[in-house]
Amino acid sequence: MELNNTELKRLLFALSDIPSVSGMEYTAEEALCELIGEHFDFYRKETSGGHIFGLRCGKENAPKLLIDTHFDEVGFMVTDILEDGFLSVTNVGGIDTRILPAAKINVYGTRTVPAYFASTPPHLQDRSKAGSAPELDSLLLDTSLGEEAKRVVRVGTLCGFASKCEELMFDAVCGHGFDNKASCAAAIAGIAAIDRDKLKYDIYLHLAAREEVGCIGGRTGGYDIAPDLALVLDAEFADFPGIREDKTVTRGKGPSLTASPVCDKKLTARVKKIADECRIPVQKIAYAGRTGTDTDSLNISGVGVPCVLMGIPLSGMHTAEEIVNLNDLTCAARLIKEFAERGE
Amino acid sequence: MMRTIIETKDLIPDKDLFKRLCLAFGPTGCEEEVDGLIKDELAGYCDKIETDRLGNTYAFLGTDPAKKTLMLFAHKDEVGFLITGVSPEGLLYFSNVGGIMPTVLMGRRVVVRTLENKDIYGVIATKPVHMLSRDERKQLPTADEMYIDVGATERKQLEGIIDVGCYGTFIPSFEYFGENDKKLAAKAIDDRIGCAVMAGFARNYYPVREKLPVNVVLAFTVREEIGNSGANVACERIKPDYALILESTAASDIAGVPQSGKVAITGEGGAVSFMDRSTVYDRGMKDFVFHVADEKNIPVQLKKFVSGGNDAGAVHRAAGGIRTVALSTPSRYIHSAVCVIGSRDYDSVFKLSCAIAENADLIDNY
Repeated sequence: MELNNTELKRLLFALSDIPSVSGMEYTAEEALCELIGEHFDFYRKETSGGHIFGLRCGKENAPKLLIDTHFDEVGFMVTDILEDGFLSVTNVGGIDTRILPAAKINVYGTRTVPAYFASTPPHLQDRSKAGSAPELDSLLLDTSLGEEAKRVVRVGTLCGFASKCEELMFDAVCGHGFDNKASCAAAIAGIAAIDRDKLKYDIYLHLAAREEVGCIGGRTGGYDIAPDLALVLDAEFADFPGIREDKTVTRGKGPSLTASPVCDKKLTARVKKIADECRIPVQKIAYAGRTGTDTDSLNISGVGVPCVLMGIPLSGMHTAEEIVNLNDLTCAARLIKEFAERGE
Repeated sequence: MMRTIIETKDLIPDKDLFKRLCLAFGPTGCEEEVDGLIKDELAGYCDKIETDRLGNTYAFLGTDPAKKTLMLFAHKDEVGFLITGVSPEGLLYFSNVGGIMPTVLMGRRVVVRTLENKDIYGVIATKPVHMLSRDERKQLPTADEMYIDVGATERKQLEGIIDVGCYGTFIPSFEYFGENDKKLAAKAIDDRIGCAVMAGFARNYYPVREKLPVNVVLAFTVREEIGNSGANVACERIKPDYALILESTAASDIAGVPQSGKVAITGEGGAVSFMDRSTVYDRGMKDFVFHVADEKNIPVQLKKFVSGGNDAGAVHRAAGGIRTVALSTPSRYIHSAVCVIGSRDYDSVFKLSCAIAENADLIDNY
């Protein structure tokens, strides 16, 4: 595969279209195998509902490199079915309720139906609460399904953002689930571009489940694969006015490498050195404790896994309109390819 | 007994234009694109069409000096955004054009029209939920504290592309949904639905306009959403005898809303106002409309709450006072990224507007 923005965009948009709210990732097997299966030697399901794609280097007793990119995204779960097909829901993963009113949602019932988050008209709003963010328990999903709602939807049905991916300016794109499909796209493209003759590892790409609800797939996948080392890719916070600059990275200036007690220092330094040698721009960010990614659970799975955490700068995390810059995906993909070919 | 010129079942609403109008870009101050679509549609379907110096467009059906004049009003503009500056980080500062609740802004995708008239996408940016303080989670910023992200990360990237004075809207959308597609979710139904109803009126009645008991003027107005309406000058220019305002009003038939708060119900026909924030309506006109609807068996409802306002506020006090009635399509989530209406209400409002015009000579009996 060519590593350029056009290819990365194609992959990212295709991945974003595959529904994957935490708890329903397992339904993506067919779509994923069709989309990316050709680049790998084998596929297997993972216990928590994730997907493992493998690529062998052909050398005996080759070390196992796990590349963990969680595949799930935040969403909602139906808690009640009300009159005229209105649904009450709860959050799956961290949701900012301020962004919900009028958002288009897909309800993954017996068939997928569109719905919109309802908003209370101004004349019915409590004036004492003017300017306050809505509570999730006061927000309803409008399916307008009437009596049919009870046949299509059940308590427990999952729902997710429905926005279609679109290009912005300056190589930026917006859509839902870029946390973490942007990382998935970069990892897949990077692996697909590897020169097999140079490959140093047996690669296990784990499109992990349930990260957004507690980094579950990172732990169970690490146990299943028992890798010798791991690269974790996840979304990293992009700059926003009012947030101190050390807490964020800049879109378009390359992927970030994370300094943290849960990351392996030597391995991270090696990746940085390769990036410098290949003139791939990278940024730095530091977390004094856990990182809020699969790294936290993966590095203590099984007998322990040395991890590198790479971040894709992303704005609007956990909203219907996350923004990434395709240049960062392309750079991350190149860095993965180079690391897999050069090794530790 | 009410007059019938075209049988109700033979009336054909203009649905294709409705969709194109909803998708068009037309925040207050930028009504040209909508105006162009309307003029194309009406070419050959009115006696004359003219535009005044503010941008209001008038289509005339019938010019008999012996007849009274009924004027239909719909506004071309929609709520949107005006770009007020560019931040050092390449984010756009903006103000709302028209009344948009802060609750429906954050995280929505928008369209911004560049200095070169190219439409580009942006997102009303949000600080990540993970980094919000307890207070920030509870409190909504106002538009003046929000930004539109179009992909840039530095101010200089946008030089010559976007500047103060550029306009934006929510992204275009038009989708039927719900049980048997009984609902329509679309941008700018307020008030492209009124524009489309009037265009449909012209296309049906132009061939038989001589049979109408009144001259009809269709006024496609500007600037309704900022309350500085073009309807003011439209009335002075035409001085009609009667006015029918075709609008969209807030429905609140949402689960959990008490009966007393339900302004109007989607799917149960157009809503006729008795009073809103801008007008105490002409009681006779209201009775006339209900009578016509009853005779023709067309669904209609009373708007049950004193809220909102529309061009009637300008019209009923203009040109010495004009007898005015408002017929509004009930819409959930009005002034947000999508309005949701009952799909059949479009037909009901269209057919009732036609029946009102066919019998407008009876208004003075009410």
